[in-house]
Amino acid sequence: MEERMSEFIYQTNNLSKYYGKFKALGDVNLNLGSGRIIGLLGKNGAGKSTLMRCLLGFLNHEGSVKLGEREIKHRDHRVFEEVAFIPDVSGLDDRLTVRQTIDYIRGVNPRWNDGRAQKLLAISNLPPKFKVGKLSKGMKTKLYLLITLSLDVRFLLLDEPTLGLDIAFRKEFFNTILGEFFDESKTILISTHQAEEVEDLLQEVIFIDRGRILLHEDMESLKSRLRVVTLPSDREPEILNYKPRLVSHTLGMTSAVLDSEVDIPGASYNRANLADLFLSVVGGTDETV
Amino acid sequence: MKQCKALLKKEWDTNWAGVLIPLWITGGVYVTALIGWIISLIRGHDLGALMQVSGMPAGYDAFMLYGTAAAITTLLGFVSLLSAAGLADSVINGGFKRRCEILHFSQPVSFLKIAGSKFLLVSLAVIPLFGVLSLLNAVVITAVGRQMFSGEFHYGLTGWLQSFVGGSLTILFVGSLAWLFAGVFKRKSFLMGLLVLLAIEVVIGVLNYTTGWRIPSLFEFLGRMVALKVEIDPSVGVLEAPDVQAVISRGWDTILSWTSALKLALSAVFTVAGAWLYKFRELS
Repeated sequence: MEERMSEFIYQTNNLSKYYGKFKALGDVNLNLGSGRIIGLLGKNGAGKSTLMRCLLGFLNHEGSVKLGEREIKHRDHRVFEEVAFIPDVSGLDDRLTVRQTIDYIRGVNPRWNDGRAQKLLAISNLPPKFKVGKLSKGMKTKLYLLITLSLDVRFLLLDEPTLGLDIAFRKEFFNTILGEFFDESKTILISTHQAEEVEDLLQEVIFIDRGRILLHEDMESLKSRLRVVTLPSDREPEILNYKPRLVSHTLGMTSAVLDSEVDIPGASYNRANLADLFLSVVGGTDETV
Repeated sequence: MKQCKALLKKEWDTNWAGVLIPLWITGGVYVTALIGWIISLIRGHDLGALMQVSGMPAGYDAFMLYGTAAAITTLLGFVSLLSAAGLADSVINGGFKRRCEILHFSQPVSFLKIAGSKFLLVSLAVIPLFGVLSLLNAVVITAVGRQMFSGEFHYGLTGWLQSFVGGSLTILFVGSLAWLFAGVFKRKSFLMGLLVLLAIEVVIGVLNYTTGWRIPSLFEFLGRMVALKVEIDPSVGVLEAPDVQAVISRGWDTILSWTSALKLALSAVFTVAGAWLYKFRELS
């Protein structure tokens, strides 16, 4: 990642966050460049949300966070001239109606893009007169996406952005809506449990576990560096020789993600998907991604 | 300007019910009185049947108009004060309780504007409403009172004005104190703040008892600060007709006293301290 140092718009240096004695983030060093879609993957409680909140100055922290030339020590409204954020919980004000929510953000945020908002509103089917508190979880998520993606900002932080959405809208969000927002000058950092949905979208990926960054790499580089090796189960020891973090068994076959340079005669080789890559680096089971 | 307008509108949209509590209560009183009057009419009585004053010594008319308007304004002031205290918690902690603080703090709006719009609602929305409603009440009660007392109308208005100014200072003081508590405590802030004050009072009591330091009582001090009424010397007019001009003069002296200046100064300190604590809160 170092080769694009001049383009980095977000940088953290030894970023740590403690909750009492519990270390939620430990010495996180990240450089996030512009014009990238970056996935942040981790198990529950790995530190994804804490990292995002530190990047925004919502949480006091140790170490440094820089957005461009600006050091973020604590809450600073100027950060949001360049960054928009969707939290992992539906954080809308349930006392407002849909229309009041939209009008409020339009009024307070000079980055509001009315044309894009109208386009998103048209496909969202949100009832303007409904109180937010009366909306379903999926509708609330849609509304939060609408007001956030209607902002012309350089950096978009999405913490589990599609929680509660139905499959059709999730697909539309990742395939179409996010594309409306993204261009070469913008960066999107997405944390999600649905690794398979963002897989084709991501250009970089960050794996986080127990508050530590285990991997930060270009997707292409990662996928060419690692691959899935499959052998009949009776030849499993040949795979285990390479000490894979994760071994899976299916229909008499044993598979593991191994370095692409590993060459076992008679084995079949497949491109690893994101979930495989995550589990091979972090360890654990499929359910935890 | 656009941001301020949007913030104020949002605060109104989310807290209007709390702001209008004095209106609901005043409306309730009027409706109740109206129903009573209608029932009275149905039974064949006139308005005078509801209001009969007898045995009033001479010279009390002006004082009664003044005192009634002042008392009714003070009552509404108390309701407005509770409304302001509730609003202080709602504007500061409403976002936290509804898990939407992040939405509001994820906008490029300076903290001064955010805190300013919230404080405006706590103070400057409650106080004008208190003013308008209490003036209406004072006009009505004075007009009705003049059916029984022969005093001039302006005595009622003076009673209203003095109680309104004094009450507004108290609303500002209590609203600011509640604002400070809301900045410290995210849940049940007013109750928690009172518990802290109670704990301090107990410590003062223990220290005074064990050391004889005679530290002044905190509650006694706060009691003086939150006194809603203008001070009227109880000896005035007990045995003879009161000098209403003297009462009015004393009322202005009370309003334009160092106590009022102290109320304003402490309100400013509480407001700044509460805002400062709110500003440096973590959002999780």
